[in-house]
Amino acid sequence: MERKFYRWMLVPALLFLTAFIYYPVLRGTVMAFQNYNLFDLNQLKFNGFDNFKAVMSDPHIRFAQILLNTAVWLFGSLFFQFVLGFGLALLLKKPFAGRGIYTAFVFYGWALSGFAIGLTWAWLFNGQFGLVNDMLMRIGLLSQPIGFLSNPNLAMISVIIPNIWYGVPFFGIMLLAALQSVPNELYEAATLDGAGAIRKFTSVTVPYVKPTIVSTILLRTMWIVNFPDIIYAMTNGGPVNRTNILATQMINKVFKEYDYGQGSAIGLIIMILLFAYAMLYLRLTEKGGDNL
Amino acid sequence: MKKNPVHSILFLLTLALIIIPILFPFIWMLMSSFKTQVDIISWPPKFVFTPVMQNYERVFIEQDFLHYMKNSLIVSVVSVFFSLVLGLPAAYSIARYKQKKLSIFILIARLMPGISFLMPWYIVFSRLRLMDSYIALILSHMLIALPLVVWVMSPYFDSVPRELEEAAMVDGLTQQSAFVKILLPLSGPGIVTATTLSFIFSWNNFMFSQVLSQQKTRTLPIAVYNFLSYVEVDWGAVMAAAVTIMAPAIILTMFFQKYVVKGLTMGAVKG
Repeated sequence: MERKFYRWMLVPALLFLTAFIYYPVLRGTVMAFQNYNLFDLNQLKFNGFDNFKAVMSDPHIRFAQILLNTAVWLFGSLFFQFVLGFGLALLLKKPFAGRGIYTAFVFYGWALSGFAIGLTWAWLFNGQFGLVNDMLMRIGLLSQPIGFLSNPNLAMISVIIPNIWYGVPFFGIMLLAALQSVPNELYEAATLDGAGAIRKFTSVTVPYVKPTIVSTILLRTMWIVNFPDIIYAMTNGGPVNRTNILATQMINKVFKEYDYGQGSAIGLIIMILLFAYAMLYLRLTEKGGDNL
Repeated sequence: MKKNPVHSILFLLTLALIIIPILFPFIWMLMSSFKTQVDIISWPPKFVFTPVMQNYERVFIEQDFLHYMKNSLIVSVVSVFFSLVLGLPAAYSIARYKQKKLSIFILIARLMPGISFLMPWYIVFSRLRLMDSYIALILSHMLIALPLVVWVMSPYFDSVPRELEEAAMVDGLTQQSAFVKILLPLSGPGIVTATTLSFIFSWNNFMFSQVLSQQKTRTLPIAVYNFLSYVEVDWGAVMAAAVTIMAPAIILTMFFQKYVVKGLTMGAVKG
């Protein structure tokens, strides 16, 4: 009786997610193997791997370039988000007067709209009147304003910086909570055993918060790859595709070229890459755990 | 810990150096939103100026942002409400019955790349003539809120002792009413957390609304996106619009700071 009731309580949520997430994902997978163009619906049919071939050999946009952009966007953002977030969490671990308020201000960024953050930084990086140009000129690094977002070599860095800024609070909040949950006895025992600060960090702190590190990095990876709001607000993928990542390219295929088949193919590529990444990542971190 | 004055000063200095790049973009945005069109394109940029409201007038009166704000509010509130209706029982069931596999099924939904199911959505809703309807937007935003509600609430329910419901059932309450009358009122803080978090994520969502909304149901971020292409140079108005998007989320997190941080960390710390 009891078990039945519990089961029924889950049913509505499961049905909902099946209908609105799992079914569309399957549908999208099928579409990736179809010739499905809004302007060419009479020709709707299966076409094997044609969509994948078309996407990978696009004469205007080199697929290797988009993959490289995605990797730079992901790892550039992730690395600094993690390092800075972890550093902040370590700094804020010990109580001090006003810590609560300070922490609130340091971490407020996570709640803001990624799109609005992109706009703010687009203005900061503005090529004519932007504050960043002004600052760099004042300290003598620049002699005249440069177009951060229109310069092909600077555009990617210019969208990664706001993304780092946006992601640091997430790591900070998560890791701070994990650090605060480390039992003090562990540190006391380590002190008795004669461990120094560095030894304590590597032998007590890191192993204890490792599950949090592993899960937050994985969660954040999915986010960074799939949520290009900042890119939309700042460069829209340009200049000359230098900030065009898989996610933005997929949206372009769908809403500019109306090619649902090719768009779905890119979507499937993203999913397969992320899945492979997650598997590899989890396997590596599991093994690494013994050494830590 | 021994207190060394040099250490304390260095520590404070570090704190001050860190907060500047974190707060400054926000402050600059706020300042820019109150500048006249002349002040905003003065070179070098002005730090001292006479604040004016013209950018906000532009945004709210000429561009009718109140309308888009209303859309954002409708979509967020309704989607969060129905996510709670579906998500609370599901979270409870997972917590009490330890339905590990099914809970993974729900939580994977949180990791699914949104863009991979948006396109089929777009096609289906176009066929049903539901594009530019609140229904499509609300359903899509529930995909953000529902897994989040389950994620936050199942560890929360797990921490409420089972004996409380059992005692209530000995007193003659059915399981359903024990859940509604005993457990839910006890879970107030958890529900506040889940509600605030899902509201913020729904409010900030760009991609779903960008794909599924048109003129009538356009939410705030999308309105700004479109506005951007018309007035490429009017940065004062764009900053005023950005402030308008951010303000509600900031106010909410200030009020519910403690709950929200708890909710964000709940899943992760448990590992």
